[in-house]
Amino acid sequence: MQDTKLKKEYLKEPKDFFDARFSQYKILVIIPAYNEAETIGRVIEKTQQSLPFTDILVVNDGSSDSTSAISRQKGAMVLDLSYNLGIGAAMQTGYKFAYRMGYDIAVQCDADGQHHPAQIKKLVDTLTNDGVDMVLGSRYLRKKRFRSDVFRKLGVLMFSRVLSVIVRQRLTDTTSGFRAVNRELIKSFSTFYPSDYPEPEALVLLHREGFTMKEVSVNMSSRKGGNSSITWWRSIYYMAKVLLAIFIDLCKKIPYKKN
Amino acid sequence: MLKIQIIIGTVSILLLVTVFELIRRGRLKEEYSLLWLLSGVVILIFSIFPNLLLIISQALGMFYLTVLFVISFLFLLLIVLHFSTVISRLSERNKELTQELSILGFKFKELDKRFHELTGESQ
Repeated sequence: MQDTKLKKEYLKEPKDFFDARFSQYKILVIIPAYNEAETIGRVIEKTQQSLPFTDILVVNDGSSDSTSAISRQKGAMVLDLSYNLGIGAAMQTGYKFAYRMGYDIAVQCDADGQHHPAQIKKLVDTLTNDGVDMVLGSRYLRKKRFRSDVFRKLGVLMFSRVLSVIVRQRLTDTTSGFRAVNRELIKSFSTFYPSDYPEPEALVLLHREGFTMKEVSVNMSSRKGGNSSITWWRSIYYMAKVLLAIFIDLCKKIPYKKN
Repeated sequence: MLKIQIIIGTVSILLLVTVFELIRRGRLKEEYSLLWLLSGVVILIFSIFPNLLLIISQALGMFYLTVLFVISFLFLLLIVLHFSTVISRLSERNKELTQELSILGFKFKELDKRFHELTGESQ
């Protein structure tokens, strides 16, 4: 389905052993996008360059700009949602698609350019080698300075502490939307995926369902375009709401159980 | 006492008739009308047997009218809560339909493309 020109070129001359091994999996990169016309083209291009074997799916969450047209033109598969469902439901649409189309691995990546597609390899490599169900790209795992305001830092610290206690494992970047998951977790997410604050909530959910996870260190750049859904003055309000959502998640019935 | 009885009785009968009529015309589903019918019947019972309400008001140490308001309030609360669950279910189903539609739309476009490639027609 992906344009095969790059694939053919690549097959002639595999760059290294890692990439050849990579090709045995059917991988889907899911990019949820809401009015990201400025950056989406570049993200798709970079993904195609660094991972010629993967299919790219853009879930257009009811954008009013040319996000969908640009993605199509760049050769990505596009799912157009009729209206803005929100990031959680948009991601779940991607997982549903991945499950039905028989993908082994799904990677979620932001459309705003803050995640570097070249690092998807790192996520997938850890996923296939370490036998975990989900790999999270963390920008705080290595003690590197990431430009961010005080409230946001505080929020990040609090979430990571709370979630580390809940999942009984050290987590540093719980709001990161740069993740790779295996087939079993694709199935689980296509049955149920949290909708309010999907990134931290999904961690609680998958831990309770019996899945395992691991963080790897990645670099992220600050946002190039679009508006972050979290503005600084809303940070505290956001924190309270997320914590509440997390505690509710702890009490919810488990919608899926790992085999 | 009789005046209140007549007012309340009339209100409950009006409520029951309205709900019944809405169901008959198909503008209200039976599923969502049960609580309305139940509250209508309860109010009717209280208007026919005002002593019942008097006994409750004495047992709780409240005024006659206060008990009436408390009971109506509880029923309204139940109805609103029921509506909230209905709305949640509807929005969940709506989400699923929208997701399904987007996947079908994608498949349709792919097939359409193949079809035009095969027939050699321009789209």
